[in-house]
Amino acid sequence: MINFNGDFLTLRRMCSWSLLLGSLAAAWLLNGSLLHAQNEQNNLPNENTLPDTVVAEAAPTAAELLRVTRADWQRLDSWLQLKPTYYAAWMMLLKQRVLLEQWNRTTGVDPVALQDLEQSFEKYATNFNDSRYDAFLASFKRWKTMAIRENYLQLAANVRRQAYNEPATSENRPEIYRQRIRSAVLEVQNRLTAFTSQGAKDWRRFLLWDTLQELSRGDGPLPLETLQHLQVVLRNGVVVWDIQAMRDLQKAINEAAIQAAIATDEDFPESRKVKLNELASLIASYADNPSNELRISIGPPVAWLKERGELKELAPTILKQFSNPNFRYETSARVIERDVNQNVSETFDVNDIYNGARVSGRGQLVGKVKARLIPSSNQAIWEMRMDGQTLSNTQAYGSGVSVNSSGNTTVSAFKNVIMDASGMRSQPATATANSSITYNGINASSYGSYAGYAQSRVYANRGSSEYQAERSTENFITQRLNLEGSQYVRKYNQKYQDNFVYPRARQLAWPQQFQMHSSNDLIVMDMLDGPPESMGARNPAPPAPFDADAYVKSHVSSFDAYGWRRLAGKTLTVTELRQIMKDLGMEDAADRAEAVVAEPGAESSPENVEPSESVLAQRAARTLSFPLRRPIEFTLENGLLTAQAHLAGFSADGKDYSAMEVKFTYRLSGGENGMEIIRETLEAWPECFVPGAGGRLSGPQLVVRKLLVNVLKDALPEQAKITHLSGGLGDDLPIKYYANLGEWICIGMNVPPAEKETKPATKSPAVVRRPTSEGNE
Amino acid sequence: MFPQRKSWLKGRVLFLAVLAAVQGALCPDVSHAQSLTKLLPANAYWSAETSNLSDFDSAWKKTAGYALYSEPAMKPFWDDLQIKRPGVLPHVWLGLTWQALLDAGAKEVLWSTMPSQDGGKVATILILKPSSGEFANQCQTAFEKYWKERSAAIRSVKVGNANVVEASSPTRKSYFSVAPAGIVLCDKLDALAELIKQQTPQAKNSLADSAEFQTTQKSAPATAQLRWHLNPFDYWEAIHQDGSPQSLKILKRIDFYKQQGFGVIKAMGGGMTFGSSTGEADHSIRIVRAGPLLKGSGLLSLVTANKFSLPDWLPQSVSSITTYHWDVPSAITAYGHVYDDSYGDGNQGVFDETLTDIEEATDGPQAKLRGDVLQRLGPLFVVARDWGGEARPMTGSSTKLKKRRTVWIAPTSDPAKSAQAFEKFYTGDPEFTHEVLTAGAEKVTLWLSADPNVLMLGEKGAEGEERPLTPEIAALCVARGFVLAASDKEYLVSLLKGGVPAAEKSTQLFFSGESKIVSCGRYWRNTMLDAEPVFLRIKSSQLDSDDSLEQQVLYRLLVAKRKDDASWKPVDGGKLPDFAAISQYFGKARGSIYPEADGWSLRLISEYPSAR
Repeated sequence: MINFNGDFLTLRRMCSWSLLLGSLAAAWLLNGSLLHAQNEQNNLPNENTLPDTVVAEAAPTAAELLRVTRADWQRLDSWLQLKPTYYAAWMMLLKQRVLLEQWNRTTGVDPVALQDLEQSFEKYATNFNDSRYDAFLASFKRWKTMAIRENYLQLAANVRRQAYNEPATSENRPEIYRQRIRSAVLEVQNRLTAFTSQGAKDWRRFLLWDTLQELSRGDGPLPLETLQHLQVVLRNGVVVWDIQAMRDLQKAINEAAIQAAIATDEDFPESRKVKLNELASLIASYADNPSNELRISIGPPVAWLKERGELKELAPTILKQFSNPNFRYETSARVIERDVNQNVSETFDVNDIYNGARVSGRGQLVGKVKARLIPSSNQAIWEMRMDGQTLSNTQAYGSGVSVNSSGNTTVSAFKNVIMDASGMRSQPATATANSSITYNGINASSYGSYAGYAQSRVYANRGSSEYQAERSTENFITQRLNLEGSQYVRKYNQKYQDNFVYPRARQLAWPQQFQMHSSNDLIVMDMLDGPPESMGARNPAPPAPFDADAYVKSHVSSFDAYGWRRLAGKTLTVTELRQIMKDLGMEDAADRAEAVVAEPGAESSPENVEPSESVLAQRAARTLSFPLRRPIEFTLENGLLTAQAHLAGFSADGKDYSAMEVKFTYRLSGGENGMEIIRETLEAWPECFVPGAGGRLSGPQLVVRKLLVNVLKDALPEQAKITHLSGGLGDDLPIKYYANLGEWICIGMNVPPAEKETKPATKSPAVVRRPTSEGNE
Repeated sequence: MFPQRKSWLKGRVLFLAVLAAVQGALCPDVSHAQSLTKLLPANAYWSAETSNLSDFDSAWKKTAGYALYSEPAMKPFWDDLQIKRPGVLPHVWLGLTWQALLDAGAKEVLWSTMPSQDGGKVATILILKPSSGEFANQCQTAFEKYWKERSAAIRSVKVGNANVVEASSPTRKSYFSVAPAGIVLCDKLDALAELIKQQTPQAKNSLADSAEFQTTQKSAPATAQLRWHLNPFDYWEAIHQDGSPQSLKILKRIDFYKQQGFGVIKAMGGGMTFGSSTGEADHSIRIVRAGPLLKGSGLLSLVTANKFSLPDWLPQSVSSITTYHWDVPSAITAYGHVYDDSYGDGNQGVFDETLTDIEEATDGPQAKLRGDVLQRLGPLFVVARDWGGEARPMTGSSTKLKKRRTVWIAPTSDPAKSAQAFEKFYTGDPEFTHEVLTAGAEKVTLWLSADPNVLMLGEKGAEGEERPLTPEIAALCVARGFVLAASDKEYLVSLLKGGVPAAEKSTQLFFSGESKIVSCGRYWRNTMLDAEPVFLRIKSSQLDSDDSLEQQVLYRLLVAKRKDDASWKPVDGGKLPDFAAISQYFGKARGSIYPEADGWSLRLISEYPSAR
């Protein structure tokens, strides 16, 4: 066995990943929910790219595409030799069987299947510089437009067809569902009791156990609101405890919720039909006149139908095609490269008995470990590759023959690491070695006149020795890579679970859609967050205007989503609202002053005085209530973030006040090493009052407005600076850059290099045994 | 805009006074010689003492209150009360019945409470002055008999150097200690240790030595059969120290009052004489103020006068009338402090800003509240109450109960301007409606809100919570030269539309014989009118904590569970007789409040029913 002093894939580099995770978690907090995402949607045609009327022309076929590439293959191949990094991307284009099959079978193509095809084709246009290729590109664009339209029309027809089928649901009998829930609750309890000792002590609280028990024991109709709340709870529960019992409980609750939702409609069959037709019409309209408004309007009917158990097969397709991620986290390839890439130069001792011969000597391994991202649309993949060479000088002695030899083995090893929403996993490593052995001296004098024979036997076995050396080296390197890789993956997943998955799930904030993918340059985590009817961002995440190691891009709709998750249907105290703002990193100067005072030795001044008991009591006694749907809506324009909250009511010091509308704006800008947030306006008015329309508030309304504004001033910091993406969930990353990009904000961070471990000054004196074939037989 | 705080605050003060008085009345009376309060530490919350138990017993037995207690028709109710509320009488709670005390020849007796860290936060205390050598033995025998009958374990324990008898039942403990200075019964061991220490010669800082105690006792007449003393905020805090969320809320509220300067009220106390000229209780109360009124406590600034004439249209059907002369400018300033601290996070000036916004904001009502309303009010304020409203039965019972109604009345120096300001203030708000009434020759605009909390910035106290900071007002108007605000629209309408009773009748009825006396406030109650609705609520088990003082006391006594009373069971109001059978026991009461250099004096007089 070889002992590499200073392992080439040091686990210390996990630190960098934990930093990324920490910032990722924090970024999520910043935006609220982030979520899932499908970057494929970036290619959805919008009003700017689709003509009002689509001209049906003869579309190119898959065969034509292949013909173009084959015709130019030689030139393409030579060009790719110059740009080897593009090779894999190109090959992926040609391997999209789904695309090619759809292409040849039908005129309608799922836009998701097209991926970045058009952009990729265009990328090669200048390199080919061939009119046939240009013609192909033009033809492809026309075909793509038409094919996508046809796809939407087919989808609309499928939805419309559903309206003529029977509802997918069965009879509503609460007692049956209650019985199922009861059984599932018992099973979960049995299973989770074992988890208690494993650190999931708060699972009862997390799962709203009392509510579940109460629900399973009660009688009469099942309360829809409770069921829907539990649906969210269990969706997150399954993320944390992915066990069959939990999935069964989730299923039981889901079925009950569907029935309870149906029960809210007096004439469900008819309203279902209306809703399906409405959805079909919206999709068909979108096919001809794609617009964001239409796209977003598709969300509510889909959500309504899904809530009632309809569109089980079509809903995922529709959401995939019409929703956009509204939060994106990107990590530059160089972060991984910086972590993983390194030169390897190790010496090793050989001292062993092998095939009856004592072998001793020294060797050296020289090589490089490199990481490389591999483009993938469904998950993020990076490859860990090691290229190395071992050189050894050994002396073997046995059966009266001594052999001095030099060994030279080149080895290349690969291991793919895959990341997706479930975490990181690695594929088995593969390695290829090539050995060459040179005998520098064979002393067989003890054989006398047979010495020549003895030498020839040694030479005759060289091929076999080299073969064994190659296999042994391959085995060793793959074992080593697998060992290191598994440790790497385990530690990453631990961090990922602790800092990202569990906190999110516990806060009922696990993204509804969440996808990771990789390109040559970036690892991307796309998410879509929001209520069930949310269709995400209006436009794809724009490229960052600066160069950073990691980027957080958040669409304003993700702010809505955050507001929805934290506020919808809730009554929160000012203390809790302040905590939400703190969770977002928005701690105002006064709060920081409070913190300073709390530190021993801090000087007290009028500006940094701890809040009095009465102020704390007031904060705890004042509450704001938010409606279940659309509690707060944000817009972002030129760095001005405008929020409009629809309060269902508020209470101050024991007195309840009626509903009010609240509007506040924050100016977002990038400052020195951080993001600056300054509150510009804060207004409130009664529900039916139109500000600025010449109307006047009554005295009580004005008093209440003033009171509410005062309460909100206490809850919303006047000025804040976010210097780190933090949330107490992991390591913080300092914000280096900030930019407003239309409806997106973009934050850039540089990931500090992991601290290099210093190698020991002297090598370990350990005697090592190397599986080599050197020596006499 | 924010008037009537005084009424509430006065109510708070009166509540504490009456609470003490009622507790005292329920546990017979006192007079003073060598005060047993020498044996109490200065941090005692509350005390009541009599210097001669048998005199007190005799005087009490001559009153209508005792007649009601002896009324055969009431016996089932009292029996039920005593079974279910052993803690109603502190001496019984500790293990000595009233009769046992009399039989033993008890003379000087003191009831009290003080801080304890043992279990509850309040220890209940009974101290007896030994009247003879046998007295202690007789008391101990009665004590042990009482507890043995209740299957309690009796044993001897040491507290310091003293031998103490401990009676231990499953629900509570009681300790009996004999010392030369006094026999002490107490339900908390740590408090008992304090009390034993207090009996040593080197003991200092007794309650009797405190300046506040001495001041409150000065005002008690020499003939007082019961003397009492109360540390209001400490007592109030102590009885809420059970750690429940509700209590924490109340404690925060108490903190708030203290911050507003109400903590300047250091003590109250006085004495009660029974069977005086009126034949009932004559109660002298002294409230001790430690310093000048600051911040919100400025609301207690009253001014003296001798003119308390009532509006001539006020009907005789009121159950109570309170009149007072209020220093309006001081009150506005004081309320500003309360408002700033309560609604403005302590930012001074929020109240003024709010008023300025109401007067000047371009999108506001531009109503001159200060100039046209607040500064034109008073100085005489009248609070009238009756029981004319109808309330829905709170349970399945079909009994229709009457609801207390209140109207607040203050003259305005310019009714037209005040009315105009209100019109601007409320116009355009969908939460308010208005009606125009003709009251005599006058057209009156009545501003109405379905939610009595909305018309003013009032707050509704939840069950068991302290009462609102500001009153609930459902209707408001300017009429007959007054600003009127009522808790009930119908009440206000009936006042405006009703006939005009003879003015002299009202005035004479309420304050006959006191028209020349200078004071800052007066109170009159038709106990008969007030008693029946409350009685019916108890009888139908629908009593709640209304804002009347007595009702709050009764609510706590009969309904609200005492925190440390594991044997709590609701008292059965159904055991009460028909009200007609006992109505002859209810008389009337009146009172006045006078300013003092360091506080206020109150005199409350109950009239014998025959004087009705």
